[in-house]
Amino acid sequence: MSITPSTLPQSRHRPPRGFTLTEIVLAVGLLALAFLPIIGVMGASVEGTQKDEEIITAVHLAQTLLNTALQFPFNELPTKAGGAGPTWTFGGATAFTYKSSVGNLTLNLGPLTVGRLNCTAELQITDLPVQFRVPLYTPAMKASDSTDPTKWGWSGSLNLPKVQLPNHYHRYLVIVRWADPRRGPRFYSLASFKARLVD
Amino acid sequence: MNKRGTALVMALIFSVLLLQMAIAYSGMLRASKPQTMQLEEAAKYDLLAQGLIDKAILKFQLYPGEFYAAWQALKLGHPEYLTEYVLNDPNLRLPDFDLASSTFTGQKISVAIASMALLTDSHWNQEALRIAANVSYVTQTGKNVDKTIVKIISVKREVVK
Repeated sequence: MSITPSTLPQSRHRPPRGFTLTEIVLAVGLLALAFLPIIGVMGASVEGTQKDEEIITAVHLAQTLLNTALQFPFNELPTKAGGAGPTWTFGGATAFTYKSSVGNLTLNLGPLTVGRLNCTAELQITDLPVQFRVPLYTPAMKASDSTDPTKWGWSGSLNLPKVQLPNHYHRYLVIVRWADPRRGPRFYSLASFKARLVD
Repeated sequence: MNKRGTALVMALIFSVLLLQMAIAYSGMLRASKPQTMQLEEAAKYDLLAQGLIDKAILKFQLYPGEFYAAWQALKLGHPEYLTEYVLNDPNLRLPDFDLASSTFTGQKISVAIASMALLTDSHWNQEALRIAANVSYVTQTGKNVDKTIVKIISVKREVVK
């Protein structure tokens, strides 16, 4: 096969096909740069998800503990404090210890492990003496004229009972505490109240 | 056709697409955060309201005659006595309660008994008492939230002989 002089210069000046090494290096570099914020967002999302999971677990645990405590008959926990020793458990929690034996009570629950959350919990029961503002009327006057309330001998509102009534209304406070390796000590507390009600 | 620079153009297009994905994902994360906080806030205010409703029931059980008289007065066109019994009692309000707090939220929640009403009119028989509590607080994002928690209990009037 012979190469004619007319074909030789054409093959030397054929336009380049494909990508040059420089183009590929620049393209890969650009893509790598584009990935940087995505990696950042992914990292933040993992951290955020873990934080949310911690919060949700703590909320559920506090709710479980508080609802369990509220199911006990009124004053049962404080009156048995320091006594023969209870046999109940709180939501599968471990045994607890009393801090005080009269009036206000603190129960230390745990350590507890719920999912990946390792925590301790505390239940505080505090007596809040009650008094109400009650508008008083005169039953005899009401009986004599039952159609006109203004003639029922209303004597204005009084604070009753005259002395605040203890041991009828308790505040329940549950505090869940755990340690976060990145953010340090964390806690979540939940409060409710329970009254001495007649069935 | 000259194909110089095509790889760069393609890389730029991919970069823009990836950035858009990142922005969309970040938006999704921001949207999921308030949901966790709503769950946490709901647990707080619901338990607080239930506790205050318990106190209203205690008041009713301690002073039922006054409630029934005030209720009867309301039926006869005089709501002021029931207002005095329910709304004007500062003991049936929890303003700016902040004991239920945490390291991630610290908002104060206000709870107040909003109404006590008999749902039935069968005097001296089984009746239903409806107690409603209003809850209000400001979320971390600055949004005002108002909720109403309702509890209905059965009560029975008895004649003391």
